[in-house]
Amino acid sequence: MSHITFANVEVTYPGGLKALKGVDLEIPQGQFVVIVGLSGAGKSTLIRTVNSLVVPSAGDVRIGDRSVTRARGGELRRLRSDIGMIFQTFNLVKRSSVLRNVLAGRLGAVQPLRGVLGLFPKADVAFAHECLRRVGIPEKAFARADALSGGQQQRVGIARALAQRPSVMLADEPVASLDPPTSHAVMRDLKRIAREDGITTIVNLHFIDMAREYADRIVGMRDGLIVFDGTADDATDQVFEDIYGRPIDEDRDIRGRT
Amino acid sequence: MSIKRPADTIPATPPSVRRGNVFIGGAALLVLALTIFFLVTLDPLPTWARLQSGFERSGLPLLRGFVNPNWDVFPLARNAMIETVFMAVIGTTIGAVLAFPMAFLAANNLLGSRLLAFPGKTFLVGIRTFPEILFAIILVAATGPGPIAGILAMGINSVGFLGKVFSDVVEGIDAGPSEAIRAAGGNGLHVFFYSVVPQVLPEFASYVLYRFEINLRAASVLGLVGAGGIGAVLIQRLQFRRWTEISMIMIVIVVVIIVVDTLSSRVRRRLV
Repeated sequence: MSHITFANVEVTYPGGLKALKGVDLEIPQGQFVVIVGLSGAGKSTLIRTVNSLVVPSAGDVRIGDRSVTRARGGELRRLRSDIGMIFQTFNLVKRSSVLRNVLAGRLGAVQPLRGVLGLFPKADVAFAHECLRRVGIPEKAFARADALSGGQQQRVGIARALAQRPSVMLADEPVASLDPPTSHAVMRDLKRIAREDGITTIVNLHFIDMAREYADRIVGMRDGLIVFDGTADDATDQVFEDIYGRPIDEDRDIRGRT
Repeated sequence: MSIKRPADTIPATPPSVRRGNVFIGGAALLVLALTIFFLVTLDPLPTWARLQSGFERSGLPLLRGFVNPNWDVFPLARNAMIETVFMAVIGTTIGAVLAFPMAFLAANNLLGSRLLAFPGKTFLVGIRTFPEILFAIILVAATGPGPIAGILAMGINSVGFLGKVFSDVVEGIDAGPSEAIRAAGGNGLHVFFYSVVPQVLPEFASYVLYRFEINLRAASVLGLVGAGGIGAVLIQRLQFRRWTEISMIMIVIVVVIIVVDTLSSRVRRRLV
């Protein structure tokens, strides 16, 4: 079971910044949730508590009935290997080949030493190629990652996450470094794959229109708290003005029209 | 729209920036003044006559030698230069192999604390404090004259240099890929081999080649203190002022260094 439960999650960073001030949220299995909010609202922090890259200072995050927050060492690595993550800046090793970047997604599944030595079983290598096919760039497997365009690099990021065979996918501003048409293409891929594989997905987005277009459910955050939770139809302009704390027509940027 | 604006609309330079500029400018002026003072008060001042006699005694014979080098010493110079190149290769390799682990032990970001990196950094600074020629003199006394002393001297010195630049490279890596490996369930070794090493390796290789260029030049000189290589052949000829032979040896050194530098910088441009 891969439904996600946030129970009164608080995060205080060293230095005293309270990024999350008590978040309660239930995400059922297979749902595609988009989190919106201004920079600094706590979206990135929230998403990172799901795989314990950020450890809550209070509260608990569970996937199914297993607590990610309490997991340590090998148990945490096993839980993480079930959670794919894609990043705003792609976080690929630019000087490595695309294939090696994708195979990094298999590291949690193969024997640790085989992983270190790069001796992946044939099935894992074949699966990595299949993941590249699914994101539409099978021919790029042997190219260096930095030879790809931004949109292609983010597809490699998605392929790396898919290589984990995840039941949960986290996407932290996945299209914020991409141009609008490419952004839509990447979001469509992400949505399609999540649907096909029944992956529970949390995506952080800046753009209102994109959130409405792709989300099963929109969660609005402001100042470390959830201030809206509803469907795309519920999320009217008035709602977004509340989330952002300012009129949206003054600032076309956040609409993200193409 | 015109870009003309009244001068009083320019914001005042912040005092902190102005203080910094004054400090840097002052320091540069001070260094310049000291240099001029030193040159003016130099005693005895190099006179034209002295320069002329020095040129006639050493410079001119050497130049004549370049026009008419003594090819009899070519086989000897060639073999000594081959030995020198091998010395530089082995010395650089020793340095690189030892510097590799040192770099990670001296990098702030990998150990998670500046305190833990401090001993490694101090060790590397310590090595760099001593000039190579000093190691060579000590090692010649310990191992007897010959290339072994030169190789070890270069190796030790290269650890100091490569360890320092390697750890700078490690400190400059992008933390994003490491986060991605951890997010995918990788352990510390996975982060090291899938994020850190591939990020640093091309720059490491580039610095090793650069150090090889430096070591080759150093190896040509180390022979002056008995540490093997072409320097040993050179010092013997210098003592007896056999200019045509000296010129031949110099030609061999210069040609090899130019060729190696050119090749090496071409390879390095491709690496990074």
